[in-house]
Amino acid sequence: MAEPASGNALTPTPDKFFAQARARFAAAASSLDVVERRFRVAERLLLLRFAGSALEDRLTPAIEHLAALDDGAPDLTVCLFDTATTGAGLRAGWDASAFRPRGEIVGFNTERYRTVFQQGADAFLMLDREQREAVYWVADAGQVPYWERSFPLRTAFHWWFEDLPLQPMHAAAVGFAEGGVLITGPSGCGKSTTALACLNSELLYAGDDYVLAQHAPGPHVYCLYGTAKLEPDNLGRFPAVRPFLDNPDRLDREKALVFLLAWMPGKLSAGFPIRALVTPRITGRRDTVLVRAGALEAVRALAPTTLYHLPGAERKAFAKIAALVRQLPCYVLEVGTDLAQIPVRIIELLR
Amino acid sequence: MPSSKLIATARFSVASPDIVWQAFDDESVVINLGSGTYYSFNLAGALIWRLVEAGTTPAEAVERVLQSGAPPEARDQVLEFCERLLQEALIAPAPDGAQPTAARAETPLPWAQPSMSVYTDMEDLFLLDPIHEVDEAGWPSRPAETP
Repeated sequence: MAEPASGNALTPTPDKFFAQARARFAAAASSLDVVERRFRVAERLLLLRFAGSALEDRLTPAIEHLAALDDGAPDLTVCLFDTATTGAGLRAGWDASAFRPRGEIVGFNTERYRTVFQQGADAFLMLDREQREAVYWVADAGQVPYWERSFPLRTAFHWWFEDLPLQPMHAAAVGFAEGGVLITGPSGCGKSTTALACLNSELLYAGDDYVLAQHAPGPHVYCLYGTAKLEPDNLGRFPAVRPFLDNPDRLDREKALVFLLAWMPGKLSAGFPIRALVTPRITGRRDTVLVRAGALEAVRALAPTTLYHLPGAERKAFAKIAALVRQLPCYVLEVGTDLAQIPVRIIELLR
Repeated sequence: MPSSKLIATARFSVASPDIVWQAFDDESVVINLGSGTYYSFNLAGALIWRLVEAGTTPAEAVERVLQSGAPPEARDQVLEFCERLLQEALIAPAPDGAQPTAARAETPLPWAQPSMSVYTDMEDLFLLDPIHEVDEAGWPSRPAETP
């Protein structure tokens, strides 16, 4: 879509700003070792180049299960640095009016470039689609919030897969190697509760908040983040998790974050074909029941939050969500208070 | 009875690039990413949406559904639905000289009154404050919020 010209007093064009950001990464990397990490994401190779290890420590635990030893040419390279540990800053140069509410920078989202400043995480991300290279910057790696650690670089994945039948989606996923369910719904609907309840069953786990869904050649989900976020009052159901919590000293203000690769490596699935879409609805009744629903239920559960969280390429993302929904049966999972029934109902559906 | 003759004879287009939509078997879903409001249209509503967003005037849309076999009361129903689209700021008058594109859409028969359901449960999520200030380095400064 055409955007009005933006005023950037320092670097008036996207190509110049990207070159500047790359130069600042090079400056950051000049004083510290570059840490290169490779990951295989949906059969594609991602190379993360960190200036120093501070951001690597913050961002990679959630994707450690995707670590790859390949030394082939990457499909996407992201250069990451922060100012606090490298001394290299990145000046913006826009006035406040250049930032759209979700952080897209006016005039710097073109056919070739995607540019956003993510509020909250306070992270700048810019992708050169032609060169398949991105720059990620934060002021202080130590201030990366726990939720960003739980789904690092999700906007980069969104942009990377823009023209492919792959889409990060705000959903959880559980199942078996031969098939599973995508659990859809906005925050607070019971999505995470449903996924976590399945950890105590034979079902495998592919995410509780953001997953990578593929709609062609067939519905499939990839485990993008090997994390789980538990409400602190939910910890009692998983007493063994406490030694593995990432943020045990901040549970008064954060959800408990745990990396499955450390806690329950055997439960983590690389992904599986999707057999159904399930939208939880907490009822307060004792029993859990699966009820067949229309496509609208799943679209309402998936589309608005996913499109809200992931700036740019909204039309393509909505089309991919729709393409997935059109292929799958949709259910409402009326979640009762006896959480042990949740995996039972899902297993019944899959078998 | 719709009141505005101007609506019936004018061409419209989608009001904002923030508005995205998709069609499903029995309904279409339209999302306004600017407000967080989203909508579902039944088949007849989806047809009118497709026609109007493609630049067909409401009056032309009426003719099309009547010629397809819809009953006479469809005339007012189509115009009322167009008025709703306008009230919800999903469509806006098209620029002068805009020409319609060919909308490939079949009139659903038997005809049912076009209907629209409005969902506002996501509006809080989308209700973001504009960015008013930037810090010394030029980056937005605002208290962190959990997404």
